[in-house]
Amino acid sequence: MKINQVIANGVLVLMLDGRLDAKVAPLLQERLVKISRQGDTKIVVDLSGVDFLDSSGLGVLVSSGRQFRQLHGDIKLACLGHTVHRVFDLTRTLGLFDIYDDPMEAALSFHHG
Amino acid sequence: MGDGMKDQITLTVPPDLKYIRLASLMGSQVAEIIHHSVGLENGQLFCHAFELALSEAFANAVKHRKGSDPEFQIVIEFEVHEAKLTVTIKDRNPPFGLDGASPLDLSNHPESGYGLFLLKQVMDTVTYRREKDWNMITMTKKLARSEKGESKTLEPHGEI
Repeated sequence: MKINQVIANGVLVLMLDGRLDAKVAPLLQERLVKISRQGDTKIVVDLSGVDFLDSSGLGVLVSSGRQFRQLHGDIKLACLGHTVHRVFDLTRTLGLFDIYDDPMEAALSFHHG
Repeated sequence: MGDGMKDQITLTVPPDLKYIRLASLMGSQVAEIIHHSVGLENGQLFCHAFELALSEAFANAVKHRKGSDPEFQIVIEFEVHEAKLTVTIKDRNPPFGLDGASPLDLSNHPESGYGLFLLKQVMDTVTYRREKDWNMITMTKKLARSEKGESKTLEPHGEI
């Protein structure tokens, strides 16, 4: 999996590309821990490049989202594909996140809320 | 081959997460071949079910490995039947049961433990048995043009 990051509307956007499974989920978790320690607690995760998500990847997003919110921040999600959305839906975790069709819109939302 | 079984496909994989993609994609590829030969109405969900189930089951087998037996392997066996596709994941880990874990409390949004839950959600049946030294998880999905696969995600989700 590739993880790229950009700043959009003053907000850090992580762009994931590839499969988010048990092999790579720890790498994402490490990256998110590093980001939160740097003080960036309001971020967007762009999932448009993620073509597969399993319970390990989901667990990282759920636990990290909770940690970011405890730090008065949040993780907002953008561009969930059909099968990725299905995993969130089956596990009833859709409601844990603000979800957007566009990462730019997700980034802007931090300034409006 | 009895019980209407037409084909059998077996893959033996070292217990390393670097091969999880291989196990998972084998699931979706076998399912896609069957989907195209049978003409399932919900082919995308059918293929995703096997891709997800194999990822979860393979990760589970790797994570519960004890010791460092160099002969330890994970065996994935597909059976194509007239009316169903079955996959069995076999490993020589210590015995366990599908019903041993505490039920997942989805209302509290746990941070882990979704693997077995997802297996049961996307498959029609999931069974566990122990034979000699082998754990065997067998997962089955019917080959039918019915709406069951699609509607399953639309029904209220039950606790396990």
